[in-house]
Amino acid sequence: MSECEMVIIKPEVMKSYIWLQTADGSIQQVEEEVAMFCPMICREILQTGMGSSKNYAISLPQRVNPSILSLILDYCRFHQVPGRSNKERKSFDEKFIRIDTKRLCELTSAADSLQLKPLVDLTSRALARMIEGKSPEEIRETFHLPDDLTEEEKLEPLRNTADDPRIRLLNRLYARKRKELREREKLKNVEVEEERVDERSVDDLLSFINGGVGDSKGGKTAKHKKKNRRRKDQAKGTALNNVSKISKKEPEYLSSECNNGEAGNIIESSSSKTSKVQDVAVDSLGPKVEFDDGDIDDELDPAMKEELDREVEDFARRLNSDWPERMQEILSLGQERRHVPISMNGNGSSRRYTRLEQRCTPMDAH
Amino acid sequence: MTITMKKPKSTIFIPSPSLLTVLTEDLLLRVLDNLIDSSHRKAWRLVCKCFLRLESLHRKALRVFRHDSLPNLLRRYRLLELLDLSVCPRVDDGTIAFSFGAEPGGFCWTRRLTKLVLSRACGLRSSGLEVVVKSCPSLQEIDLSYCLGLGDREASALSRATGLRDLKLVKCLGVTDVGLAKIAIGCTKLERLSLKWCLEITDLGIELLSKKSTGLRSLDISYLKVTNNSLHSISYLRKLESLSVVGCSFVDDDGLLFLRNRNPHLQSIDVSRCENVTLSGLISVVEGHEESLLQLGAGYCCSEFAAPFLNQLKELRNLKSIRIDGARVDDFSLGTIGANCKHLVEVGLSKCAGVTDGGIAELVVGHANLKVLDLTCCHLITDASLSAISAYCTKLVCLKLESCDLITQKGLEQLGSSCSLLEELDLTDCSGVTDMGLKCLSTCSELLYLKLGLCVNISDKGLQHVASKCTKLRELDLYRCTGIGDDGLAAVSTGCKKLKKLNLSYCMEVSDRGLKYISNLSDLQDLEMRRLLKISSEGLMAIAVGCKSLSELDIKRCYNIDDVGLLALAQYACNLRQINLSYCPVSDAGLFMAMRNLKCLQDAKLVHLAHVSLEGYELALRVSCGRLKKLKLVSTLKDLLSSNLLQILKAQGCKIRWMEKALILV
Repeated sequence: MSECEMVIIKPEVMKSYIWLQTADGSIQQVEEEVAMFCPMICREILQTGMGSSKNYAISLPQRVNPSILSLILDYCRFHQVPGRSNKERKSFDEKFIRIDTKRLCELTSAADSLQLKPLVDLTSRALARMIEGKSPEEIRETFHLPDDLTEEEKLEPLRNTADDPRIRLLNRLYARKRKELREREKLKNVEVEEERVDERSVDDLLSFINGGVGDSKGGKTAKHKKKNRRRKDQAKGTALNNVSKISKKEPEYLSSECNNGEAGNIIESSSSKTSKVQDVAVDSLGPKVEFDDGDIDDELDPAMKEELDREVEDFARRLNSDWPERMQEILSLGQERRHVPISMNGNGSSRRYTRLEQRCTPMDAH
Repeated sequence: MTITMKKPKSTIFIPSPSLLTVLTEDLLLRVLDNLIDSSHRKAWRLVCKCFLRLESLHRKALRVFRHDSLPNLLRRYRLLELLDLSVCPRVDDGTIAFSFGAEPGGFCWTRRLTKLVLSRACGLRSSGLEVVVKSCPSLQEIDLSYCLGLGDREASALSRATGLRDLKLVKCLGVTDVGLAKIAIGCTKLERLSLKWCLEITDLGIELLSKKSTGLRSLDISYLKVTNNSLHSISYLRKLESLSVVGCSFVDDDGLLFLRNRNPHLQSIDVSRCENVTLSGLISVVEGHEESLLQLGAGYCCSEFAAPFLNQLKELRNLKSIRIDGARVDDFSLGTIGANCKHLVEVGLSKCAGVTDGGIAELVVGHANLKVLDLTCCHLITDASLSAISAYCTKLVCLKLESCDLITQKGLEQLGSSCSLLEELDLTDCSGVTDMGLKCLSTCSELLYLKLGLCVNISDKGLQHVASKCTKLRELDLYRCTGIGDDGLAAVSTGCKKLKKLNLSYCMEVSDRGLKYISNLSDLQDLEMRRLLKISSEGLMAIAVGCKSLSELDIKRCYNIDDVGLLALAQYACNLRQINLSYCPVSDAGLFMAMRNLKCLQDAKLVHLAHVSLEGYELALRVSCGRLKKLKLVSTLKDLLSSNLLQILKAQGCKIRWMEKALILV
């Protein structure tokens, strides 16, 4: 209703002014057509006849302070002029909201109290743009918000993935293994390469399986040493050129070790401070739709869990028993496919990666 | 205040005002209105208690990705209007009774629910549906597609949902005429019904439906074994707007004759793949619907479009969409279509023989509103067609040019310069596409779907152009683009942050480095990378850690991916729903851990895992049998796996495809 109506009703008072009073008591004079752009002021004038003189100033809501009022009036002054193009309005709006966060919030609130809907839309959109792409911490910092969520509320979505004791155990074992390997690496840094080719896979895999059921890998290495040597001998035939390649690329190989140490750490830490990584994981599926992961830890009852553990143990035992046979089998396959012996690597130990890359190169060259 | 912001001119001092003290909840909700992206909303939720609460008030729609989390989510979101459980196929009567059942407090979250998606919920039976119907008084739409076990009892439970307007029963194999009759009688407000693939339904059911559900506006009876009699019954549906009769081989011209001059509001009819329908049938459909008809689907039914039908087209002044896939056309017929149907928005000529540059030129003249054009396998067209399309159809949104290998850079240049609104472009198997061509195309900055499969002449350079400009890209297909390597992927990972689907199969140059770039795409949901020999578990680990949203992964024949990669998946890819591990050298341990930990896994392809023992298979399947819905195994395992396990899998609703393939490592 309002503006145009008013213009028609009293065209003779075009240049008249409206008196406005902010909550702090200060009173100011504003061109009527500008003031009338705010529905709240407009209604006040029409319904109560206030604002026509200094004594009858319209008192504005608490949320409108003088500095914000002047901003709002700037906005009204621009937009009340008819005949502006959409492009002009848009570019004005864009510039208009380039103010600091605090003022933007105040502006939103004030515009809302004056029922100036287009400005509320504009500023709330601007606030949303500000939030987009920020982490919860950044949002808190920007808007001075309390960090009052309980750990549970924050972690809720991932409890079940984080709480798998086997995974945690596995990670710990990995970390230990990595450390051991690194230690050993340091000791025999100068030694021949072949030794290294040796310590891949079988032990690692077994150790993790054994470890997974509560057995630390400890003495296993010695036990399997013989087996490994045999395997190595066979593998040598196929991987001879690779070995020489590896030794040439020694420095790279070491550095990759370190990098992977870090990668390993990520896994390792996951059980303790999963929140960040997995939290996001849980949510960013699909547009508009989201999901959280509920509690319902694993939904396995203890009895079933126990049974599973038993199964795993059993499985590990069987795996141990028929291992040599399987190795033979795999190695015979390896004649055609060189990567196979490596693929048997069951452990997160890292250095293998570089080897794989190196292996790829000669293979492709053929 | 923030570091980045300018200092305010006047400083009215309010000691560190929290957003909460300045803005009311109403206003905060308004800000929340403007946050569309789910990751942004996620951040919002994790800010503080107030924000968390506001978000739960604000949310009206929820798609649950994990069965386990349902109760918790429903406790939080009390004002839902839409609930989608389609990716929780484990939902069964128990879950439903538990989450939809009455609560002691009185107020139940289900009160406001208007739309419910339960497709693929194999465990759902009548008692579950009864609870749903009882607890959701506002329910208007329900999708029960692919609930294969649904039968007449369930239909009868459903018939008590008297407010139902929209019902999808695609491939509910157990529903017969009796069930349909119950629904027709009970759900009197029904407006939209899909019975596609409900093979038990016959003419009798359709007849009853047509008599009872007179308010039907949309009906899909595709692939049913119904005859002309059904069309006769349907012709009495006065309000019918959309009818789909795809693949009904017992329907012929006589049946379509029943529709002539009936159903005054008919806007859309699809008779594609009805073998016995000829031109005269189409003509009778068109008759009497000249004014109303907007969409006509006639793919793969009439082999030729002769003069009488083309004359009829003249009358279809309002036609917006026409699909005549697989037909033989000539310049004249295309010209007639173009000249007569002035408001065309969509034209489908996929696999049409005889489409030439001349025909396309005549078709598109003056069609400034054309948005979708499907020219798949129209081998004869060249740059001249693209030039005509660019000249007239500047609002084009979707263009499919698969196998149009005469197209060159010149054509793409014109396309790029005038069709800047293009969102979907299929250039699969167009060998004429080069790096320069891609550079020209990169001006289409609105592109969402780009298919470049088998374009062997493109390299990283071309991909870099696309990635730098087309930042909205959601789907990118690089199948067998042998020229693509890690550098191209680096560009993709920085440019196309919104990418959801990526196909890198057989891009032989891609290595772990490339995968590490890809791992920056946190929205990626579907990644296919078959037979990449340069990638190892290290790359896969990066993907597992980085691509949080990954739900489908195909690493078939990646011979260097072993247990380590699989363990990383087991640890991080907690949203994985489908996986193809066939031919990967993973061992018992890796497979077991993956199958045990991937709680969302529904579909696993495990063909020829040469290093997995029988026990390995047995254990892995045992530990995951509650979740698996689809399984692909080599047929030799059929007799080796314990019958007990196979029984359990079957009982849990898991379908196994047995592959008769010898182990060949290529």
